[in-house]
Amino acid sequence: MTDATTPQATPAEGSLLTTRDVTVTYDLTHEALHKTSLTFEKGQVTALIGPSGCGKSTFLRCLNLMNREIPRCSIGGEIFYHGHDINTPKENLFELRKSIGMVFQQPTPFRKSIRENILFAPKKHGRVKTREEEDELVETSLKQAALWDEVKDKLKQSAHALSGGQQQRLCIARTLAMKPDVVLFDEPCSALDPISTFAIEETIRDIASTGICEIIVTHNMEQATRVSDRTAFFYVGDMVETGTTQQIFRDPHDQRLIDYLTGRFG
Amino acid sequence: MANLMPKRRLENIGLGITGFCVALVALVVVTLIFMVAQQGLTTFFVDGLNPIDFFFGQNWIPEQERYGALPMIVGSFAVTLLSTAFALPIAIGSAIFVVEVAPSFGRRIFQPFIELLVGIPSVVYGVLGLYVINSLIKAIFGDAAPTGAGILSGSLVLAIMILPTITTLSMDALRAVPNQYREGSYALGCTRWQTTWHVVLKSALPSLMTAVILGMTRAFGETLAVQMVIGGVERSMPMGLLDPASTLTAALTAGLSNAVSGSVYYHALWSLGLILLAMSLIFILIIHLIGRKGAKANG
Repeated sequence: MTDATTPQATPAEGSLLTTRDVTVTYDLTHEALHKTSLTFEKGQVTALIGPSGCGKSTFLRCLNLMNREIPRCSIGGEIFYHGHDINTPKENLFELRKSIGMVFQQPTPFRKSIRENILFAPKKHGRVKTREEEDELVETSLKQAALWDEVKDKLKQSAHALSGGQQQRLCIARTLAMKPDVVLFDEPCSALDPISTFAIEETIRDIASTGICEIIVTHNMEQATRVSDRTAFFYVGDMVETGTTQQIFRDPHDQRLIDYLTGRFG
Repeated sequence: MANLMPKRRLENIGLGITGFCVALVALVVVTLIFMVAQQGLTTFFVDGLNPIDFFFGQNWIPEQERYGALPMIVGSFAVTLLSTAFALPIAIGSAIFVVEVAPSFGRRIFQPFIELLVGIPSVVYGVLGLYVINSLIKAIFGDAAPTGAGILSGSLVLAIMILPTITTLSMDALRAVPNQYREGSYALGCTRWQTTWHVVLKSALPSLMTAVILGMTRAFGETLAVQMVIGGVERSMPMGLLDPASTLTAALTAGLSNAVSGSVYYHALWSLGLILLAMSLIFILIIHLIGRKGAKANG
């Protein structure tokens, strides 16, 4: 952290999600992420970029405490969500993940119909009661993920029959059906073709306009410039530089970021 | 061209050897089916036994020329279904525990432990069943089960025997579910239990069904251990779970030493073998159908 653009370490008043000195250690000794502090706001898309193994996915997986599912992985520091620290043993992970959704690299539709994929979690959490509520939730979620027109006539079919891009948008719709205020994307397009990628990027922008905070890990720098408002650059476990996407790509300060952007490594 | 010749000859030899192996296996299978079918059908076509009397006759008394196979058919299906019903919940339960809850315990301790059970010869299970389970049944039910031998004892012994098969295959089935499914479910705020029950088990369902069918195949085909504990009564229909009974395999083994080659009894025993063969073909067919359906659903 040599740079002047090191973010402020205090949680900004009223910020949706703020991390302070988040550190991740695997197997007690291997530090995968070192003291990372970032702030995320409503309706804002933040891209996390950097070469493979730089800690960006590790950081992302702290934000919904997904790393807690990995044995011998410990998260240090504080993560403020709606003003209170969620990185405590007492935090109810399952409650938390209802409002901080996550979309993975590989589309992971369940072995169920398209409709049941959307309704699975809301039903389990008792969010929908009547058939009308279910229908409405399926429709709005699929529309938000720009998938409705393609699947509205085959909601009862297996989700596995969809194309990779459609499956990924189904996963986004499934996440949105829980009405989260934060959605985390872990390289959501790296397994997809360019047309599907474009559709997903459009969806990400659309979701942001509804006030949802989105954080996307990507190794595709063009994608970062297309979808994000802010960008944070990670390198070997350190969050090196952060700023508006425009500033990061037009006027980078840190030498490692400049090298990365000019293609010296990565 | 001259250089290529030896190589080509080598390839032909390789092709010949592997092709021969395939032909041999196919020949063995076809011959086996043909032979069992030929001998088994002689009962009906040459000896003139009415198939309806054979399949639905309730008494198997060779001395009186009565060959009703229903008691054994019922016995076989009863012990197969019952033992599966006993073993399945325990197998799935322990598979869930060692795969979803305590993976390292599962791999290091439970897996070798359960594999040990697979290797135990069936006669050991038989002895164990005879002295432990039959006595236990006798002690519990008293006069209702004077010897303790019967369908219930047979099912219990079989349940223990097929437990490792179903458990290991279920563990494999659960392990084969990609971790992404679990994470996808956790990311939606689902608990471990909701994830296991609705996502993992659901995804593993075809493989779990295959595990069950393979367990059933083993139960259906098991001979020695069942023969030792079931009582070996083919004469009449078992009227309850505590009644001594017999199974197709047990009756076949018991009868062979008494049957004179070429007699009606001898052919009738072949017919029992034919039923066993047909059933195992059906079991395998079911496994293939499940596999194909599973592949389609995941495609």
